[in-house]
Amino acid sequence: MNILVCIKQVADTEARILLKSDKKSLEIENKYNMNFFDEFAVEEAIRVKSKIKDSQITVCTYGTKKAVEALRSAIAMGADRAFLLDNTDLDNDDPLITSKILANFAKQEGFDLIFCGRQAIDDENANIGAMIAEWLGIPHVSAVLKFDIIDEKKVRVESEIEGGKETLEVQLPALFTTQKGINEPRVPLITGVMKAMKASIAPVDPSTLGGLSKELLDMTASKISVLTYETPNGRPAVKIVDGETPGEKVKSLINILKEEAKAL
Amino acid sequence: MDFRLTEEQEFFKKTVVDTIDRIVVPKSQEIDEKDEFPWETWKEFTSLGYLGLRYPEEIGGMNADKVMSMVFYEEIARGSVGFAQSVIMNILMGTYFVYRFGSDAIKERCLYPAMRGEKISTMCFTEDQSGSDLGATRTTAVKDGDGWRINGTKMWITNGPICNFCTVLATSDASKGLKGLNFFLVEEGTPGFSSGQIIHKLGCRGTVTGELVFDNVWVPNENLLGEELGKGVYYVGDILDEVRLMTGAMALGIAKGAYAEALEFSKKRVAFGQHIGNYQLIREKIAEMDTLMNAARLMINYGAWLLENNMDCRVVAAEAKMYATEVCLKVVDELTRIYGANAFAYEYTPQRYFRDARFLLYGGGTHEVLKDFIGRTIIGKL
Amino acid sequence: MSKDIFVFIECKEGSIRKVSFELLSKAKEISEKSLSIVYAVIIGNDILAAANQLKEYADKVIVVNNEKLSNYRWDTFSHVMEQLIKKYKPYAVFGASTITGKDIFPRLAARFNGAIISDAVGAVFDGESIKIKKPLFGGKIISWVVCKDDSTFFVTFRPNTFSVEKRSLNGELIVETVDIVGDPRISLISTDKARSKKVDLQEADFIICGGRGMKGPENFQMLEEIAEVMEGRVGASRAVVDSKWRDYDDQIGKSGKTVSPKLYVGCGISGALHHTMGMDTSKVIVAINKDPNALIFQYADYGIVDDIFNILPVLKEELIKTKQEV
Repeated sequence: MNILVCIKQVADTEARILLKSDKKSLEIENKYNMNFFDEFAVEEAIRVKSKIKDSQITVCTYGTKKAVEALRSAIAMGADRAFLLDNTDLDNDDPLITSKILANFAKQEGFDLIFCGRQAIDDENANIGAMIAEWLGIPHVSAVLKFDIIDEKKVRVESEIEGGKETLEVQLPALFTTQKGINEPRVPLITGVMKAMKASIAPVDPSTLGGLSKELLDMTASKISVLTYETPNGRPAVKIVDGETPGEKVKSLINILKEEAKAL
Repeated sequence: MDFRLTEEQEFFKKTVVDTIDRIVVPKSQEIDEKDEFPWETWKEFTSLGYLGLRYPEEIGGMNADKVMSMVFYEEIARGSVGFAQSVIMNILMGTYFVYRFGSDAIKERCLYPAMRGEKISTMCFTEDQSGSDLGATRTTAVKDGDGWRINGTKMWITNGPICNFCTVLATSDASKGLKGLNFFLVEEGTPGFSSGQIIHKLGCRGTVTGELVFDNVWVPNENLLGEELGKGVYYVGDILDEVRLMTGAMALGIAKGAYAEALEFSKKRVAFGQHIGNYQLIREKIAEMDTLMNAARLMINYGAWLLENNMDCRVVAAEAKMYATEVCLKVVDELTRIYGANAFAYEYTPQRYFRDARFLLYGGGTHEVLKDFIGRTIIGKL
Repeated sequence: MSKDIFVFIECKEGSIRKVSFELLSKAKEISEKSLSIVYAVIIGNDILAAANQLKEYADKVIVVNNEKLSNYRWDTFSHVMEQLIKKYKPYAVFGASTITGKDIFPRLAARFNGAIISDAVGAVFDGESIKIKKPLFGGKIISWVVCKDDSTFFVTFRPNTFSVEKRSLNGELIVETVDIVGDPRISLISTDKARSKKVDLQEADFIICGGRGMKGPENFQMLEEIAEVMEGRVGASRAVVDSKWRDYDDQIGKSGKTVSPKLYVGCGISGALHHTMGMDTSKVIVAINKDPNALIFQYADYGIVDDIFNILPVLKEELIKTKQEV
């Protein structure tokens, strides 16, 4: 089986993000990781491969050359090969563009099954998976909690829906976005780490993919423009309520919430 | 001069940091509090293969270079010093002589299982009367038929009470002093070989340290680890520099963990209406800690580079160990000053860094002995 | 050029979800300025009664009622939406950043090759276009973006972003009949709606969240009781969910849900960044922790430094009293 996993390298949650003075660009501290939800996608692909022996896992990302590190992490876990779709000089923020490029890569590579993370933690968009599926004309299931392969043509999944879960059977090829709880991503063995260290991951120029218009592959291609960035308003320092006993403290709090905060 | 790690080394470092953060760090406080060998964490961590770090790929190892090894030692010490000691024993001291001199049968029985974490190893030097002074070793090995009979007691043996095999330093000729020393492999179950008292330590808890007793222990000839009699001390030289740098790397790891706590606390604690990080004296502390740690790191990196390139690093390794240790002691001290009264409570981590750091004064050589060695080496015989 | 707005309506157990009223309110505010109209688009089965509730909030209510649409599925619902969008050509399509919104909106945007802005927390009409406020990096940065194309664009907003404004519009009900073709490659085997009785975490006005300081799953019973008094919801930190004391559905934070209730109370929550980035936009934040140094106090408006087990029983009593006064 040809399994494709699309991942994203994102800034660490602890990374410092500074607003540049023009308020139109950001400076991000050099601390990056594979997106949290993508780890579940890579792990699930590895589990499928352990069941369907004759499988190959290809990991790809649309990112800068730094993103190679995230691809290496995927190889260390157990992916077979990795590709960087180099977005230097291209728009890197628009889901429409990102998903089209990834979809074109998928079409070129061929695939039976595609895994994506449920959403990226830097923008919380949850767009790429479903959009890739739309471009490729294949079904998708979002927020998968359980994945079982019935045979090479059909899978059974449990996914998150409003107020509960549902179980579906889906014919392959199809795309699935992985939700937390689907599995426990493995910590790589040193054999994986060694393989990842030695892996040669050449950047792919998206313009060589075919099927993508010239207009798309331009810095200004996005239909969305960022007007400004700003930092959120901070809250004033916390007010610790007065009181000697728990009873007094609670009464104090309720009073404040009623009168001052108008939250009750 | 390129001070950067290669892309591969960066990736290795990132993976190790992440692995330690996931598996060891969450357990570190518990490991210290319980002061029991953390079998579950051992199994989980060693199953990843890091115990083979320094050994060739052909036998299941990673063939890591010295820079990568130092990164590993630093990070695992940052995670949990006690756990780190047990792990590093299997990676280096406890298995090295078996790897270098053991027969194939011995390697099958001891080395490969140790690399997989299935067996626990250790190295026995220290005795009641001899720590730095190896020449005063009293454990004897006397030729007896097709083997050797070993008698003596070893102290302060990391992993000792739970080890499956050990490399013991014994003298075959006390009159020759250092030139009478040899290494012998002794395995669990050998009659006369037992563990004695366990030492309850101030720090590095979670690793079991204690006495090993050799009471007329007989081992066959193949258990003499070495090509010639009396070469024990020379063989130690094989790994002495690495052990010293390794200790320095552990010091960096402990300092790194302590420093991170100090920095976080400076940013969050409020006193007199301001975050304490705004006060000059706190800023001074952070500045000093960062300066010292950067200097220590450069020395350790330099030593590792010399070692990796087979250049003489006896003096640099000793200096780097000492310097990194002194820096670490300063950093853990400053942490407790910045942290205030809570540094005095077992509930918080500063006290653990403070206690754990003290072992650095002994591991890898006491500073008094090291300074004498360095001075002697530089000045020469007059 | 008209700037008509479609608002994709979501239903829960036969009634309209609060977030849909929030979106309609905002859409109407914008359309009044842009001199355009707001369409509430409701798709489902047996929804005519619910559709009537929408007449007060929208200029037009488009209803597609069919038993094939009894349960939400992206394939049938997007086929319906596709035909409606082609017919009415709205300027923008608004929806909620819910499980449903996250599933259908990207599919629709791709189908129309339209811009999509997700998980937004504000919108302002500046005379020419709708500026959308979108948080990034867990809320550390706020971006203001705009669609610079003439084609229909799609926006999803977080629940609790806008307030519901009662209007007395007299929306025209339009019942549309369209083709409904599902994707034959997907079959529904079963549905498990055990959780549907609970207030949705992202829509709750009151959340009481428990961290590791709660010491055990049995102690969450007290939080459940308080949530019930306040008609709110219990939340959980990642540590609590990872320890299997609570379901993932309760998790607030980087790898859980982002919430913005009117009142958030954190009990035994340390305040680690991966949690706070999921709740620091709450209107009022209260923290209860016996450690005065706990990081959570950096994010809170008000705090009680005390053992939660001493405070919670009293808190429950006082909240009951307060509710009775109202």
